[in-house]
Amino acid sequence: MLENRNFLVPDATLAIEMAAFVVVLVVMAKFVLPHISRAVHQRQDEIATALAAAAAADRQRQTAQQDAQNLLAAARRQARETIDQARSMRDHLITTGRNQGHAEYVWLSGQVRREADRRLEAARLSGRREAINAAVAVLHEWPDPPVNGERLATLIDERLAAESAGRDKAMASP
Amino acid sequence: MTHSLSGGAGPPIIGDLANPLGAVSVQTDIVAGTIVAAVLVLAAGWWARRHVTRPRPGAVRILCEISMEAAERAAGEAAPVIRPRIVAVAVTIFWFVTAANWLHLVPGLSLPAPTSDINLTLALALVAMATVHGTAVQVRGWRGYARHYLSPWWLAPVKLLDELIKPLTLALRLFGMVFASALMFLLIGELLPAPAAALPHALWTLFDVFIGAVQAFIFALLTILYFTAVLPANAHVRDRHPLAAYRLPAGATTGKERIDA
Repeated sequence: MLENRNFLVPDATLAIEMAAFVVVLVVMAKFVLPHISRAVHQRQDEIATALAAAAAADRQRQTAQQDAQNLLAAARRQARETIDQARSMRDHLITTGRNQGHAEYVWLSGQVRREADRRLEAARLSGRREAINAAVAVLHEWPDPPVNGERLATLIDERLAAESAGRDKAMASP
Repeated sequence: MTHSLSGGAGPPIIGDLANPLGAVSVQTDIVAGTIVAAVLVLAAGWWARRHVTRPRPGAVRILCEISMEAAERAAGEAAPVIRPRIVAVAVTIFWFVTAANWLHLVPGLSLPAPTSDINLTLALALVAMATVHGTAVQVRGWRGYARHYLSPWWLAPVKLLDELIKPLTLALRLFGMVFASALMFLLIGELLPAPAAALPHALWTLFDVFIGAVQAFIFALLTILYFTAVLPANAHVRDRHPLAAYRLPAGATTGKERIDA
């Protein structure tokens, strides 16, 4: 390469090199690179189309996701309202039931108390009758002086009535 | 490789600067290396073209497409009608220079890197700049091309000098790097004994691979920049220039632009 010449001075090789490179350049520019460039651009177009489709699909996905979120939020809101209504109804039912139960309890207790009073009075009257009868029977069998049975029964009855009234008054006082 | 440092067994590395009469000689090893590099580039391009539609790309096709996309990205400011030409020139230069830079590393070929000779780098630079200015004339017209350099008129000499220097810098940068790399191989081989030279040789080979690709990239990138420097922006491309028939319809965008958008 450096045989007996100035290596900075070109020689006839320059023309051959230029011709060789021009041939390479022409062949590459005419027959090779346009095909590759076309294929590259076609692939870029396909990629761009695919990217656009992907972007559209992504937008659809976002829209669907937004719709789903809206639906979910509406469903949650509706469920919350239903739950609130149910709770309100439950509270109302509980209050109503409690009031009804209390009223029924009051009514029933009043009934029971009245029945008890009635039975107590009946028992009291029955006991008084039995006591009077027993006392009259005893006095009939008494030897002398003879006792006026009716008068005695009236007195005993009045006495028992007075005692019963006093007892009732004592029980009624707090 | 036929380098030698000085005197002794080989010719001096600094030639006779006052005797440019070697212009009639032809260096067969450089020409052979250039042809091999050209065949390799064309074969790779043909391979990539044949397999461009296959669903699973190979390494050659991937590298080719990556370089094309990088060139299109770098030429993004140029008018769309001019862009394919810029991309073609840049990609071809990149692969050709890469192949030429790496050629001396191919085992069994025993050919020098053709870019370690000024003829190939200067040829590449001249063809690239001729394409640049030819395209500029095609797009601007002769009058617009001249106006580009004459406005303002007092900067015209500087601009002309710049245009003359551009191919020289392109050629000398690539030539200097590859030539220096070849010199490093020579130095390693001459200054170190064979067993000790193995590791530096291997390391420098890796560095040479890297430098070869970087220099090819720089050459291609500068070519694209020279294109965009002399060509008008898209809005100023005349409707009636010869490439207007290939212009994209109004409002049309390429797939890459849509992806970028």
